[in-house]
This record gives sequence, C-alpha cells and structure tokens, in this order.
Amino acid sequence: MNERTLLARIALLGDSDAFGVLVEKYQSPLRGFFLNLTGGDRQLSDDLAQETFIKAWLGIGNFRSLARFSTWLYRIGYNTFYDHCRSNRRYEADLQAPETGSEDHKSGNGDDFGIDFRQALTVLNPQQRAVMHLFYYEDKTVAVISQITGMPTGTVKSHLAGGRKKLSEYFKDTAYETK
Amino acid sequence: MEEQKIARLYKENTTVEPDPGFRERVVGRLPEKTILWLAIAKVLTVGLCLGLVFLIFGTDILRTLSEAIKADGSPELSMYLWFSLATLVGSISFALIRSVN
Repeated sequence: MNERTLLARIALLGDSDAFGVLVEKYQSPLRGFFLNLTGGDRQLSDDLAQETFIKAWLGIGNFRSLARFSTWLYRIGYNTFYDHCRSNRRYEADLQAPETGSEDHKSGNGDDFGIDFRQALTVLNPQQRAVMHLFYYEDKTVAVISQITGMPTGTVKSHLAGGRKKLSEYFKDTAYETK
Repeated sequence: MEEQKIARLYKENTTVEPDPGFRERVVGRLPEKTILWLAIAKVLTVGLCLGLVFLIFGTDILRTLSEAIKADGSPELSMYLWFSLATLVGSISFALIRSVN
C-alpha cells in the first residue's frame, strides 16, 4: 500500500493500522530529529515523537497533499518541540540563550573521531539544531526547511551559516581539525 | 570546516535505530476518531432498524396515526410520512441511547 492510499484510509476510515505503518516508517527519522534538538535526551525525544504522531493522527484532515507527508510531520514535530520549550523553564532558557547546552548528553553511534557529536550540537541554539539537522541529515532544501519551521528562507540560511561557524569553532577548540 | 565534513558527521553520528515497541506505544495511545459521515451513517442505519421495529410492533399506534393522516392527505403521501416518522423516532432513540452510554 503506498503512502497516498494509507493517508486516504486514515482520513476517511480512521484506520489505525494504516497509521501504524506510517509510524513505523517515520519513527526513526523523527526520533533522531528530537534527539538532536534535545541534546540527546532519549526519554524526552520519545515522548515528543509520540506526541507528534498523535497530533498528526488528530489533524490528518488538515493535511493537504500539496506538501509531502514528511514535511507536514516535521512541521508538527518542530511546533511540538517549540511548545515544549515554551512550557519548560530549562528549555525556555535554552531558546533564549543560544550558547547554553543540555546536561543530558549521550554518545551517538559510529563516532570515529572520538567526540560526542550530540554534545557538540549543544553549542547551537534549538533553531540552529533544527535547521542544521534538516539540512545535513535529512537533505531538505532551504525552501522546505522554511515550510517546516515557518522561518523565512533568509533566516534559515542565516541559522545554517551561524550553525556551521559555531560547529567549526567547537571542533577547532576540541582539536578536531588536527585529527 | 567544510560542508561535506559536517554532513558526514551528521550522517554517521545521528542515525537512530528503529524501536520495535514504538509503533505499539503510539497506536495504543491514539484517541478514537469521530469520522463525521461514518457517524451520520451509523445513526441513520441504526435509526432505520429501530424504525422498522417500531413499524412492526407499533402497528396499532401507526394505524391510528395513518387514519388521521389519510383524512387530510393522499395515501402515497401518508406512506412517506410513515417512513419518515419511523426513521425519525429510530434516530432519536439511538441518539438518546448513545448519549446515555
């Protein structure tokens, strides 16, 4: 069954099995997205991913196939994270003070440079983390990232440039460049 | 740092393996969706069934009603009125039952 058929079944019949297939397909990328946004907090990432899927289930009637389902899902996910930040003091501070990081760091897999990449990502502010992840990991274009985050394309580009600069400096400080 | 290096670091370090229990956890938490046309169809179907029961067992009442209607209108019209009345009674009964449950 293709994605369009699954979406039609969910919207018209409320088919939870069809929705389960989409959950299976998108769970890893979405959990990875949240894991980077939260600085490696697995429990919180799973909670946010579950909340995102439930919002998608409830709002499937608003989905217009003009956008791809993944773009729409990431948009819900980004808003869910943003709402979480606003309702949580620790993350609210993170939103407002770009240089702070999360305390809960966990190593990523395949780390062949001897660095904790997710820890490195905490030098970025949440907007930069989101934009950088979507651009470098998900290979989304600036226009699509703009749709997902609701930022103008100029702001997306600016976050990308700022994120690249911060990561470069971080890796320089941790002697990454010499390896 | 070159873009390729950053892209490579992302691809190598931020991949998340699928969680086998995640799908069940999400599907288990899904609230029941109310599909409007399905809800209307259900109410009408059950309404028709209850209306038929009303037609079968409420013959005495209907005969009296029919005679009253026939006195004012044509027999064809009265048949439609009967049917509408039966559906209406059935739908209201079903809606009442649903609201109580």
